[in-house]
Amino acid sequence: MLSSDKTESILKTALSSGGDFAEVFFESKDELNIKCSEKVISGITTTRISGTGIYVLSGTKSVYVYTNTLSFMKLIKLAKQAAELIKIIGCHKLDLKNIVFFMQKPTNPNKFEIYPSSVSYQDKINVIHETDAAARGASPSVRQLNVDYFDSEQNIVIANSEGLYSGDYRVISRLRLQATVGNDSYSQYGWGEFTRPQGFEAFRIKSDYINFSKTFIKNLSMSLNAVTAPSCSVPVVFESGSCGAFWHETCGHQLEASSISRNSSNFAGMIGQKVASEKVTLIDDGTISSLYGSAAIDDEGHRTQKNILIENGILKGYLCDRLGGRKLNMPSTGSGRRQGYTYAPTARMSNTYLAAGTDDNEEMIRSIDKGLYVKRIGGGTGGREFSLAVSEGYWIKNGQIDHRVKGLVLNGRGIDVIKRVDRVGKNLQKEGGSFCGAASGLCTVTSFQPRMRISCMAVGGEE
Amino acid sequence: MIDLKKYKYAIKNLPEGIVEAEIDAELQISTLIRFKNDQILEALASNVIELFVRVSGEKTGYAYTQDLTEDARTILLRAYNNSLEIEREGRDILNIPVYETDFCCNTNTHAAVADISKMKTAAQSLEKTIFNANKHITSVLAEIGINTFSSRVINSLDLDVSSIRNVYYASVDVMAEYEGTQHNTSYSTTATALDELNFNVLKEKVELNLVHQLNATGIVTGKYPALLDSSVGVNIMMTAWQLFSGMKYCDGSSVLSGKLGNIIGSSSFTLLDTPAHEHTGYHFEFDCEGTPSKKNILVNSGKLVGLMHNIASASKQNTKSTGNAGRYALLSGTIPTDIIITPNICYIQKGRKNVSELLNEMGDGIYITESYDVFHSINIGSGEFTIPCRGVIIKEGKKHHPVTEITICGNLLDLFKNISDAGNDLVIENFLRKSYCVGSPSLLIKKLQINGK
Repeated sequence: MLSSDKTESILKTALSSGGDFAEVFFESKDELNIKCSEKVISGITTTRISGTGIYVLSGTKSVYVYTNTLSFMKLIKLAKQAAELIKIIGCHKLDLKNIVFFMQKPTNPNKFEIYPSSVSYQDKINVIHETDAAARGASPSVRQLNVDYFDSEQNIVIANSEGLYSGDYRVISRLRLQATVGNDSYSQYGWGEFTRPQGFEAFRIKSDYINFSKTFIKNLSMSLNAVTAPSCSVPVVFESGSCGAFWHETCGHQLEASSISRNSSNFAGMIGQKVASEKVTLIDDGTISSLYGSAAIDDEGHRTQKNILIENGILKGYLCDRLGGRKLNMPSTGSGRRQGYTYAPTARMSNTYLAAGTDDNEEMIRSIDKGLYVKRIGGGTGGREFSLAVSEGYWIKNGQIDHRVKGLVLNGRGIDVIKRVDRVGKNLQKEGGSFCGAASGLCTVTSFQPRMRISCMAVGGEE
Repeated sequence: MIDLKKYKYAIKNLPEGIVEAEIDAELQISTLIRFKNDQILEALASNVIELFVRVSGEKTGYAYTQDLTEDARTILLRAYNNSLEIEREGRDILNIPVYETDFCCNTNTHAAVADISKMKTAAQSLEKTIFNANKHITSVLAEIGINTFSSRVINSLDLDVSSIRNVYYASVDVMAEYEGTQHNTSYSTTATALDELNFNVLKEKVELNLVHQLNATGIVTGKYPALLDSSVGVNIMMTAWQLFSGMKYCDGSSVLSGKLGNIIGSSSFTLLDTPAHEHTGYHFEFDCEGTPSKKNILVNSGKLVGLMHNIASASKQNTKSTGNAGRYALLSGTIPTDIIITPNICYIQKGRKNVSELLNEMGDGIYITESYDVFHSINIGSGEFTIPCRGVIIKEGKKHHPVTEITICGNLLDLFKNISDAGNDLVIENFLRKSYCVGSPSLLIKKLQINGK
């Protein structure tokens, strides 16, 4: 890492033609991927990522330049390139003052015990083989199975012209299963991830990943017997835990500053107004310990924080990074995130959840004559109109969960659907987390909730 | 050409235990501006080189680095250490030398220099052009960029191939207000030179996309004749190309497994993978193993006649690599280092009729104008799809009114068999960090399940 003097030189060079703020983002990251294909270890790759991004702002205009050539002279050259671009954009030159750095080292809410890099390949390979065997033993319908092990250690340092000098060390571990199950006439492909914001201690309790792999295969196998749902509009119950992806797609992306400032969100200009059922309190919080979306600081050095987005149905705020906040005349909410140095930061979700309500979980289903019970969501997209792929869904008949249904994608306008939340359960349940892909790359997130019900959604299906 | 002198030396003098080695170097240089209200709002510039390394002793191991200060021999040894734990028998097969004369489309010899003032002029023109598309447009964010991609593959068998391509691109993000309701749409295009970017194509697409959103209603669920717009065909192909991966075909995870030589579509369905195409600025001279890219017919008038292969999958099928070794899977780590199979430019062959003629041919039905959710809507194991869409009701060949919150669903094999005609409006788009392209014309479908409210 560069000395304070050299870092200051880079920042001053970046601001030499104009701009009111400059930031330098250093990243080094080591990843390991071990691949098990058809029961044997077929590939091991070590990945070393190393680079720097320089960000210059002038009001609501911005320049971002990045490179992976890291010598001081190359970085000065990069800073000059940023300065040339900011000049072309047409920004005023300000008097440059000396930068006095104040060091910050906030504590990461995700504690880890065992550096993945300190663990032997053989220990990791044992985890893979145990996972593979458990998955294959869970159903005779497995035709093909790949198990991938990943771990990652990311070290970031951020310094800016306001004197901030901060950093974070982030560790994650995960297993990914990709399987094809089938019978004589039909097959299904699926994938699932066991994710932890931890070091190798993530695999200390064997039953955690073994049960995950068994459940993944059992669920995929059961989908072979699923039938197509009828086409109709019915109440839909979303199970607690990872079905919180509903909130990520129906309104989370639309509450990010980039959507609001571009006016591509139905929530633009609606702060203080009722946008959802009064049962809805939606929060994004990057400070919660042991969650995939948590960090000490965001990728602009701002401490992560708890952000209430919707409270009792009233829109309270947006997720802002530094630039997005400037555009909206709001402060940063500690939401400036990016996959790494190859992306400029932008407002992104961290751990997004629906706060617990007061409704009874059993009544939520018992009171439905005909409806859909969504146990797992396999992903989706956000925007003015959202879509959610139901990876595990069941038909509700006469107040009881009946048969499994397949091939369902739920879609609609988020701002309409969240007004129809008529039950929110008492038990908030967290989830393991996943990656969200958007403008600033893949970021770790969780999305969770208590069991929740929408009074009416279009579902289908066939006639 | 990327300077690999120290790596060339290292693979000529391999450390003990290593018998073969390969370096795949990829350099991306990009500059782009985002323009709105007659001024540049954002500028981005980058210069990143990546090295993908594989070495074999008895087995094969892999390493990846962006740290160019790392000693070449150290990287080789890192990959070699990774090979020591491999359980799969044998080692990867490396390519023997090929000659540049094999390359059909390498027209660039050096990286283009980004001229910001010319890019700014282009962005100004683009913003103005798009504003003229529709009087309800309230804002246009125009993006003009250039991406130079250089690649070089060297190995210890004396393979040394390199290429460079410069691609200019333009995209727009458009907001419109109609009777108090906000609408947005976006579109992009590519070319090999800045002055070849066709803004009128963007204007036409933006105009249509906005008109197709206004006053949209729902529809009654049912089976309808349908015309899938080229953008919907492209969206489907972004996932569906995996059906034609030799690797997935061999391991049984494609619904097409075992169907080589069979009829899988109608006579109007022909699918190709090619290194270059006039409809895109992208071109692919060789894959990440150094195999030259070639034209490959995958489906010929409905018959499955070919697959996409890398060296490993080709070897399992006793055939030759088709130059489709790639790294950017739909599902990967943050850095995709595996050598898998990816397309070059995989597209459905166009027909002769334009969209109006196809709508006339359809008579009554639904024109599916837009679809979303690329990643979760198609199951390649079963072929089943459920894709959220927007569309327009067609009566007697004419547009009647837009519909929204609909899904099209069924099985890809049925969809391919129900293609009654393909339009002449082939669109090709890049995908996954610009690592490959997929394309489709508009497709007339005899019957399609469409779910509404």
